[in-house]
Amino acid sequence: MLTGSRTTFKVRQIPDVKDRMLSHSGHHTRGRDMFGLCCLPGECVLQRAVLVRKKLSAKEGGGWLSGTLFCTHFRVAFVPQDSPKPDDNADPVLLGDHDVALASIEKVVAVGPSRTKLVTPNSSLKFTPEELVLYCRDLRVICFLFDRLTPDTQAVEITYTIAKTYQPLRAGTILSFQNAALGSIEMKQFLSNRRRDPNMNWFESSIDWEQELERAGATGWRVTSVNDRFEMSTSLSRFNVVPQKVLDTELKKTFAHFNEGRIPRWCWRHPRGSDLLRMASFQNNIYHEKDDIRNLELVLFGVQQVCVVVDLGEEMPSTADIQLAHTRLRALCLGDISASVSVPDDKWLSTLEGTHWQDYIRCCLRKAAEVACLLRGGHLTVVLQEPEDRDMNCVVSSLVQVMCDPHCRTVPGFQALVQKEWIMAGHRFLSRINYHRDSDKEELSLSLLTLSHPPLPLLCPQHVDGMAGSVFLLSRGSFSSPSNLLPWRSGTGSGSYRKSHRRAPSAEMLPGLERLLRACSLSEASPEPHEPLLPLLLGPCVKVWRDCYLRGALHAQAFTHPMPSSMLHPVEQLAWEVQQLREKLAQASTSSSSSCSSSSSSPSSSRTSDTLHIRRESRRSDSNLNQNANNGTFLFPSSRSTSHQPPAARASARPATPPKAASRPPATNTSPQPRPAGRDGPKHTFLFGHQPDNRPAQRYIAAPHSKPSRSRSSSSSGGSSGISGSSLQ
Amino acid sequence: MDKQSSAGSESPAQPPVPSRKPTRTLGGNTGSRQASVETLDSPTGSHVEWCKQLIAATLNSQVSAGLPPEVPSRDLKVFGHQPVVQMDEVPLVPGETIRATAKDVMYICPFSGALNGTLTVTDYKLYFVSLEREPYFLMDVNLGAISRLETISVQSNGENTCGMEIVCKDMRSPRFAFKKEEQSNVDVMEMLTKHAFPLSHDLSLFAFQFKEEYPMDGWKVYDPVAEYKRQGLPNESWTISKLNSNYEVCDTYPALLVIPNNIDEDDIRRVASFRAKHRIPVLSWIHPETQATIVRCSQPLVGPSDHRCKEDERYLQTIMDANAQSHKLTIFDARQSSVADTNKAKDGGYESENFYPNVELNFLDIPNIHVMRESLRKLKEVVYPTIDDQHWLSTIDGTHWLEYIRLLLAGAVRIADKLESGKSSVVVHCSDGWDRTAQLTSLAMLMLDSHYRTLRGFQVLLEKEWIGFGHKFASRVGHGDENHANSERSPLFVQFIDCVWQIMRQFPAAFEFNELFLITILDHLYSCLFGTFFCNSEKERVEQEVQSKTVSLWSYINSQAEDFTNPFYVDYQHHVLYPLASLRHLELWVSYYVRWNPRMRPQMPVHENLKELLFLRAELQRKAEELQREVLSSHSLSSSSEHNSSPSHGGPSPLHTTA
Repeated sequence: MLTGSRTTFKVRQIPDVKDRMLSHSGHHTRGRDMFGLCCLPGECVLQRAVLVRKKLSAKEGGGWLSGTLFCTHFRVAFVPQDSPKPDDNADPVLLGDHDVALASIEKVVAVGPSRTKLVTPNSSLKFTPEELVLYCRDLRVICFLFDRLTPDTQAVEITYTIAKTYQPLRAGTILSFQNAALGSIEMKQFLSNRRRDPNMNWFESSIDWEQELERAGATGWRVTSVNDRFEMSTSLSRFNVVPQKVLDTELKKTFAHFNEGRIPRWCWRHPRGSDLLRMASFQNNIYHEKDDIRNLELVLFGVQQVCVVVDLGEEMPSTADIQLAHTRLRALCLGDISASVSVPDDKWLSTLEGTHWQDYIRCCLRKAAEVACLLRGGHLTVVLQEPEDRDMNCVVSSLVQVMCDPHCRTVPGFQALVQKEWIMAGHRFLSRINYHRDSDKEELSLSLLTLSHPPLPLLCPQHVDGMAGSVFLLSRGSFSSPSNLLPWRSGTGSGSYRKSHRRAPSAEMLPGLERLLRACSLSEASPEPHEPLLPLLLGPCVKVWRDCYLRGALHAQAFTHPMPSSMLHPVEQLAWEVQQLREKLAQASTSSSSSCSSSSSSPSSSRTSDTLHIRRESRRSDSNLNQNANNGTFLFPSSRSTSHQPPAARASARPATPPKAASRPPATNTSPQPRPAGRDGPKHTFLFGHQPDNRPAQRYIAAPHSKPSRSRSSSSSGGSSGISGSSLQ
Repeated sequence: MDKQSSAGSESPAQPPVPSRKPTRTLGGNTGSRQASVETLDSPTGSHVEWCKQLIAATLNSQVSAGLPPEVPSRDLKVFGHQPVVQMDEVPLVPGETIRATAKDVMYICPFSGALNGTLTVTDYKLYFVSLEREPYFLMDVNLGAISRLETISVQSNGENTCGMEIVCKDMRSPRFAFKKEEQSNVDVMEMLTKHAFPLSHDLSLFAFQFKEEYPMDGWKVYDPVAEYKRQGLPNESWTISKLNSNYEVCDTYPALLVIPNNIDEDDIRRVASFRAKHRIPVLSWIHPETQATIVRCSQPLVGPSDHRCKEDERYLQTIMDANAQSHKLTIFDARQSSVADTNKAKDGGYESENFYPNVELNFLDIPNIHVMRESLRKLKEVVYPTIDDQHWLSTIDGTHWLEYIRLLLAGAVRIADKLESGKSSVVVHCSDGWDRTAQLTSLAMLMLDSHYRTLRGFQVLLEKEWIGFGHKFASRVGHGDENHANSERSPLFVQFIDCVWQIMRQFPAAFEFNELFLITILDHLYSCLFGTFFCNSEKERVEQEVQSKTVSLWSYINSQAEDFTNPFYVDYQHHVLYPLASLRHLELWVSYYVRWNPRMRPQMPVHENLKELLFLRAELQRKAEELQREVLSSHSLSSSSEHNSSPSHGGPSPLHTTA
């Protein structure tokens, strides 16, 4: 649209680089490729191409970056030519800032002078590609441009190599490297040396679960290790939480009555005393003894007298629906240039609607909101039931907790939640994400579904901001239990079974939930601290998550200039500034304490700074996902955190940041809280525990993301590539 | 956005009635009810929670003697008479009088069922209160916002009941039912009809009765000479001409015009007779560096037989020559080329590239005012009262509203880019040069000139491009006129403000004003409380003495500017904004169009938190400076010099320094 505007991208170039790159003499250091790629133990470079330019996304500041492109049997890596020499003694980096794991690649497209071609393992290329576009499963689009000086053979070969390696003919080979690498002695050593984040619950041991019971204030429950050797259920975790009054011997009998042995297990307790459980469907073909039924009831009712079973098999999209929706969404958002038809702009909204993705999101949110409201009623057990208990139960149970439990809205809390409700609960990531690419039917993007309901208000406040006007009321008095739901008759137990019903949205029913909510809040004399965050479910309020879905769209200009909309939330930014001032005050009063006794560090202020501290830490740890979750999720490519500039660059990029921040004397002293050193960390996606940062001043600057484009241009040595620097006047 | 004003349940963004801050009036007497609403409205989002903790803790430890942030000093500022309003008492603005009241009127709420209450009609608004429910319900509608009153059938309520639908210009249509016989109801209906359409009943618009006094005088915001001077005008090529001081050359143009130097007055008159409505090409904006200009006019009267006008051709040549950077002149005709051809058959037309050397003509394919009116009508249908969640996106698609927004933005981006990158002067026109032309030039100027992105600058932009150059507000809005079917009506200005909102959303730090400012402008476009948008031209406004007899909207805005200020504004002085004009990146302005839906209620009082934090920051800064002085005086430490580097802000200043 812009004709010859000044936004033309500049290429970073260092004059002698060409010679340097074309006529290098290889000297190999341990595990390091001669062009500076630091290989992981066991990793080797299959192909490389020199003088390649990588297109930077708007968030990365736009423009191009020159360097070398590598393909290993694990990743496609890109090393910028002016990147610092890696330290041989540093911990290995699983995925660098410009790398993408082969397993994340969805499509490889080569762009020639006059044509584009989707490159498959068997295809032959009849032209020398000028451009290589990698479409990723996580909706990123990575674009490399081959220079005139890139040897043709290198351009062709690396394209082939990537296409062949990311789609291995034998299923499963794509993971063989990871498996081998993680199994290596070197890696195991790193893993065992790694410092655990004390604020993060991994739900791996019975202590972890006990901690969670304590955190939630749940009494009457205990951790059972009856499944310690996976004898009761292969897909359940070793430790499960069940009612205290049910003995292991009794418990053992109940496994048989549930699909895959996935018995009702405790997940979470609402502060008002309701418990959230999840289970698979009942096995109807087994004869029930009287004792069994009594046990079942005990397990199901937990410590409450009333139990509600929420059947997630009903009213919810099937996994196939979701998969189809996600495929369509991906196709729509990636804007694949090799596809014959592209969606015209004026059909965007209708096509987006046609994917049903937003619909399903609303559906999940609504169900979760319903459950959240149920729980708020207090003193009942809500059991989520799904035939397999491994898909929708994960979605809904984790959403409910995000809505109701502020802890789950912190980064460590959210990570723990994913650990608890997805990983430990046995969501079949492998088949759902379909690394093996053996059957598309199994592939499922449930976790994206969860993530696309903004897990944290900072991601997408409009979703969780609001109050729902959902149409939902319990059908009172319907005590009869549907026969397919429960294997026994109603009325035998101590309580009553109810099932949630949603009625048709008639005008009269519309504000049902609101009335419920209002009634709740009116009956309370004091403001209720346990209000769930109920999202607005109105059509116009469930918006497309542009920052994720459209991040691959190669638009450059808006949303980044002058300030990206996806940056730090303004309130947080301001709060950060207030915090800066507080610290300054604290410092001033410390240094002046001999003369004037200022009351700067009262208990309340230290509590606040603790809160802030967690916040600040957690902001950065999002780039640490790989590090934290290497038990299975490490395959996800790093989030392109914008916070990894050197401190000096960051300081200069933020004029409002007091320049003293960088040169501040060890400021940790002024902060009253001891910090877990292990969390201070790496700004890259290190696989392993990074050495604790011994530059304490840095954490003050790192707090909010600085403006990426500006800081990048100021941090780059090779000249500016940022739009803000070059494009406008 | 203002949680306070949602004390009822259906007015989340009630047009703020200027003389009373809506928040205080309601907050003062609702007591516990207010509290309940707040509980509902503020579930604790983590960052909100976090901010609150921060604020609380910091207040305890640092700002012991300061005001609690909930009652910052700005809240105490109230203009004029501030009556203590009882729940059944109607709050009035100065000059407003109650005309009729009817009890036992039923409001047929499309969201929560029927409500009985009291309906009051004043000469400014309609006010309905129902104490039936907890919390009580209230709704007010500015009479100026009413498009038409329609009788509807309400059979279910008995034979002697009649119903009335109040179709509003601001995307809602409340319905009432009342007993036919009762005199008070008859009175209410009569008064409503009379005062909703005063011009059709030989009455004057309410702004002429409004008696509020503000510390700021909004009529002084725009001084054409000062604005042109800011742009560096006059200069060697351009002059500020008084040719039109009696509105003789063109009665829809302002008195002062910027035209090329050394043009003969007779030539100007010949050019005027060759341009529709005599709207000659005049300068709107000049690039500070390249001297490339935005020139606006109406279509040339070429006609089917290809009339030429030597003076017009020479005139455009002069405009091109005034910019030494380019040997081309680009004309943007906002219309579809087919429509331009139709116009040509009816004596209108467009510049032929054959007769105008070095001229490049582009059509921007933007449909006319009737298409836009229809589009907004469709939009209203899909947002009020019920929303089809399932098919929301495709119904929005079906209105084409966003598609037209996209066309406008794309056109304005082309204009801005032509100036900025192409360094070429541009001429913009449509047919008459007062609708699409105003939209395009003002949007392009907003992209090019950061001054117009300030609170005052935007007011100047509106005064100049819209009000000054004769956008026919009176005809397009139909102030006080009951002829709702008049085909002159069209929401062109709403569409423009929507475009501004879209740019604002894409560049959240580039504007000094906030969303509330835009919504307030649109509310008072209809309200008839201020004279700002009255009449069709400067000439008419002078004749009707609008400036001396009414209050300017900017008086109200600028008297409490902090409410309309974006605290995260960054003055990127020389940055041109190029918004993405793609439907993938546009969004329906839900908080304006869908605001009457109670399910839209915003929950996170982010705005409030922002203000509290700003207040807190100011306090802390003061405190920090104090402490620093103490430290310096007691120790005179050399090391403390490092504290001096912090920028000192005053009030809600930008977080960042100027880029």
